Amino acid sequence: MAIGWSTDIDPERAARQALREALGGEDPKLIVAFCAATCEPQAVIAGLSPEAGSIPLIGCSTDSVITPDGLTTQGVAVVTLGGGGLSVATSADLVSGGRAREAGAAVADCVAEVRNRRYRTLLLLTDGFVSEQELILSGVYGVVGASIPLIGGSASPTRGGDRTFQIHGGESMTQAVIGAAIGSDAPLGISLRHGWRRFGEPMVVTHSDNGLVKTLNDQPALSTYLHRLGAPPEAYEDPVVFQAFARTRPIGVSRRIGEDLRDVSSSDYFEEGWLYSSAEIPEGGLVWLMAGDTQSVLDAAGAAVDAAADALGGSAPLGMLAFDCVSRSAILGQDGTRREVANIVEPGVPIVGMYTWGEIARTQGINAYHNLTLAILALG
Amino acid sequence: MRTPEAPRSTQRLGEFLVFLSSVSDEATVVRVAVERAAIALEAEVAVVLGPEGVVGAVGFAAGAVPAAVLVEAVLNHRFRIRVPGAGLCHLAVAPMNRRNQGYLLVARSGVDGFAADEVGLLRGMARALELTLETIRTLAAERRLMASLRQRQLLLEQISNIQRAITRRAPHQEVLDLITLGAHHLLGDDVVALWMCDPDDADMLLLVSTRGLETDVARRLWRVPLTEASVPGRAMLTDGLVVASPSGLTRAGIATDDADRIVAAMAAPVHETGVVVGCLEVTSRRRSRSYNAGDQEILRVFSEQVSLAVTDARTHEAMRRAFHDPLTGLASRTLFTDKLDHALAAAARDGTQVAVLFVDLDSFKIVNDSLGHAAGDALLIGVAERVRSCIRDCDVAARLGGDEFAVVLVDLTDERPAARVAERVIEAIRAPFLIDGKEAFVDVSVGVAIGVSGTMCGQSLLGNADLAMYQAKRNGKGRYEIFHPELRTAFTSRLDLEADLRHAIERDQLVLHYQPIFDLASVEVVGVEALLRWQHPRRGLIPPREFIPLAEETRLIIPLEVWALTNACFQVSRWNRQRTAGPLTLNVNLSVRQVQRSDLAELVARTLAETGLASERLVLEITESLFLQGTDAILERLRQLERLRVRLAVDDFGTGYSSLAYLARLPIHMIKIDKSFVDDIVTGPLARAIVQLGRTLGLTTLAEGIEASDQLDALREAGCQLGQGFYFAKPLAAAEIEPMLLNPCWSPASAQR
Repeated sequence: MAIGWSTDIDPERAARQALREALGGEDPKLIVAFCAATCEPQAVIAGLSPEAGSIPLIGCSTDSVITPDGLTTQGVAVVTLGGGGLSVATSADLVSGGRAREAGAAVADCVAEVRNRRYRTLLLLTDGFVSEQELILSGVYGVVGASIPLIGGSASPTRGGDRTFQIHGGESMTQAVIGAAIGSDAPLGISLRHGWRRFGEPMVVTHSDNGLVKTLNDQPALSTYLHRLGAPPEAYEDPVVFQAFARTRPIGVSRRIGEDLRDVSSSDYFEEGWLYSSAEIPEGGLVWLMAGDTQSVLDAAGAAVDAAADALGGSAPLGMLAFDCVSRSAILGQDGTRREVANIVEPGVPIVGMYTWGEIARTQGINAYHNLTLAILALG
Repeated sequence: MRTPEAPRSTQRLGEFLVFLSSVSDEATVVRVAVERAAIALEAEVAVVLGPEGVVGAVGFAAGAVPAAVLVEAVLNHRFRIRVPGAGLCHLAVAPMNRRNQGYLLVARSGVDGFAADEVGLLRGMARALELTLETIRTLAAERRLMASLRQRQLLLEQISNIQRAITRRAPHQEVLDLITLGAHHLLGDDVVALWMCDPDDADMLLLVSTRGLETDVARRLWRVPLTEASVPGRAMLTDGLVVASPSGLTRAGIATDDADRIVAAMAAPVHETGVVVGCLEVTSRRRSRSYNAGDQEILRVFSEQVSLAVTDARTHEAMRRAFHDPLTGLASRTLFTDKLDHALAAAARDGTQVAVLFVDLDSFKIVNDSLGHAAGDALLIGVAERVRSCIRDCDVAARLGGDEFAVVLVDLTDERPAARVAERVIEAIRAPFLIDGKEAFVDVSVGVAIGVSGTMCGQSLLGNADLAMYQAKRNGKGRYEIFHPELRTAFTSRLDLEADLRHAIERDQLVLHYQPIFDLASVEVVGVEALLRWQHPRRGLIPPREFIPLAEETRLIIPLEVWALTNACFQVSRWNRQRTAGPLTLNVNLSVRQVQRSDLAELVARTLAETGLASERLVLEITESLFLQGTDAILERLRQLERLRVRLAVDDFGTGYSSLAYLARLPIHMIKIDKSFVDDIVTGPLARAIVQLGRTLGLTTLAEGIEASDQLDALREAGCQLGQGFYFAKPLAAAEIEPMLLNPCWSPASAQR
């Protein structure tokens, strides 16, 4: 594994420089490009394609690119995976037109091409503007089942922006799901951590429809949530205040192995008094209020990296890919975010990654979609 | 606070059911069930096993579901299985039906096995899945059953077709044919016939629609006696459905000469507003055909459709009559107003304009009075036809009543097409009408109003058009005017003025001004002309040209002139008593309406008597337009005045009706030469000619509007006897003119000094 990155203001030049650096590794079999959403996708492709030649190329836009130097909202980071013990197959399909499940299933088919390798994973890059993330992953799971773990994230736009992009081969896409099946003779480690902890009494989701929570404990969801958190009066009345308040106060869906975080800061249903999450919050389930602070979130970042490394079964990590939720930086602030990245970056371990609008990681159970979480793929 | 764990399984089961109920096919239900079970129990694997093996699974790679392993695990009650990618997993199994022919199972990695509530949840899910699958299978069976009910659906379709035809006002015959066709199609019998009572003879039936009957038979049977049509006859007489088997068939309505071949027949009565007016009959020649309850129901439904169609048609006809003018067939005022409102609404929606034409015949009364009411009606029918010929199908013409018509023009972008239609209507109606072999001529005045999108209701638009029509009449008839807001302002102002004028006498606002009349030879005052003025409290002194036409239109001229005559006579009589010089003459204007009153002579005589003015001092001025009336009654009235020794003058001579004949026929004593001729007397010959004419006929000539000495000289030279004008004096109030009339030394020259 090799990485390269450039913060050149010209996206084509940045992409070319980053890839040239990353191509220094042994027999590259896959190129993954994390591009600042400020880049023009065609320019990025123009910078990557000539250098990439026939090497499979995937990538997507991100609010900020994670590099060993820290975060940047400009430029491109590239990782190349290669070597004799590695097989890669990529695939892409469009989600639009109610094809989320079908697209997920179609992309997952590429896993068959790496079936002979002992360790496998499917790296998925989805579009953060697609609301049916879980349906995509259901399609994927329907094909691969529990046989391989999943890792990845959703492409994000610039802060406040409305454009994402994805790259597959020489093509720029949106509303797509892109997959890279990675088969390796060396172990692959996947971990996810968020750093929030539950507090108070749990609440029962008494009425929900997918990600739309209408009542908690048989009470209107939004006001119950705010009341339990002791929110200021403005948060009940002003959707902007609500958003800012809720962004760092996710709810946790009770799981056997902990809590899955759900970001409920969307004000789309503020008028109706409902909470909305892009991920499912099942009716009948328990949810918890979750508390996090800078230190716990920072600690989680370190723990995620350690867990991914540990999952290699004693092998030293050759490198890592990080998929970190955009919303985490809301609680960390600028300085905290810098410290989080510093926690992620291990001395001597090449790592690049992206800030996502939803994280993908599955090692256990069936659920693979997460919010406010840091997911790490470590390559042994 | 409820305990958190208690509702969890129950509610998750509810959620599971919601997901299952959202899909309707068996394969999708199974897929959703395994996915939701895995999610709810946080398991890597969920599988539905059926008697034949794996029905659905999630958690294994596609095509790699270890069916045999799973079956073996279930049958041997294993608690753990190995799942690729997840390792050794705990297994939980729930039977799906009482016969244990199916199972829902889940497998989960991790240290802990499934808790009791989780197993309970899994059992609930299995039961829910079983019920859902059973329901879907039952529904599939019902769908097959539904196919057998397609007949009923066909019936509904046929009825729907008929209803649509009735609703869209399809021709009545078309609706009836649709009904017989529908019954024929659905019952599959040989012949369907619809019989209706002959409106001229209730004992006869008319064959109004049929399907399946040979043409020649249908022609023979077009009208049959009710008593000879046994099945239809019985259905109508008993007001109920009649079914006849072969043994009961004597004669079917449609088979009077075909009875041998008829196997079965039935008929159901048709009603119009509850009264039997016909029946629908079907007959079959099919061997062993009999009509069961379902067939009878179908016939009953179709006969009800006929009843609906017949009643609707009659209602529609009644409505048509209510909404149309019975004489001309044009829309009535009610329908017109309705259509106009709709047109305005459509125009507001489409951004177009609507125009209303108000069409009023100018001299309909003459035709009606002279040729009779029948001729008047014929004329109105003719006018309606011509109006209709001038407009498009989408426009609407109406007769509002009497001789008033109106037209709505739709889909306009500006007023020009409306103006063109108005011109066409005027031209079309101007052509002679041939009524009872005689030619009749009428003109129309047309008012046009344009509806501005969304700002106007139909009534006000019609009102505007009416106002424009009124203006067209005022402007000379046989023409059109387009409404503009100033018309309404003028109209309102006129209404106000009219209201004020009605009170002018009682409020003492009228005054008389007098203009002296001079003997041109001696330049002495010999008379005065009394001129009416209106001292309006707000508008000030209103000149006659502004209020006299209004007074004439509203007939207020009659009391005004009586007032003027009385007061002027009284004033001049008083002056005459005070004058040392000879008595003055008094010229007073009389309108046509005044002359038309039959008691005019009495009025004048009474006034002279009351005021003491000598009758020979009074000169009544009439206009040339009076002679257009030319009736014997008016001639007699003028002679009565002459007998009173009152003199008559023709005012504004030469400006109007240019016939000299009346000068010889009527008792005229004086002609007043209009100012327009006096203005030209120095250079033009007309005034001189008029003076000469007067002299020839022995009439006194009086020149109006003398303003300069050279005019005076010319008139004097021409032989004109009398004159008035600003050269001498303008009209003055009584008090102002009095010195001129009572001072023997007064002369124009002294006045100018």
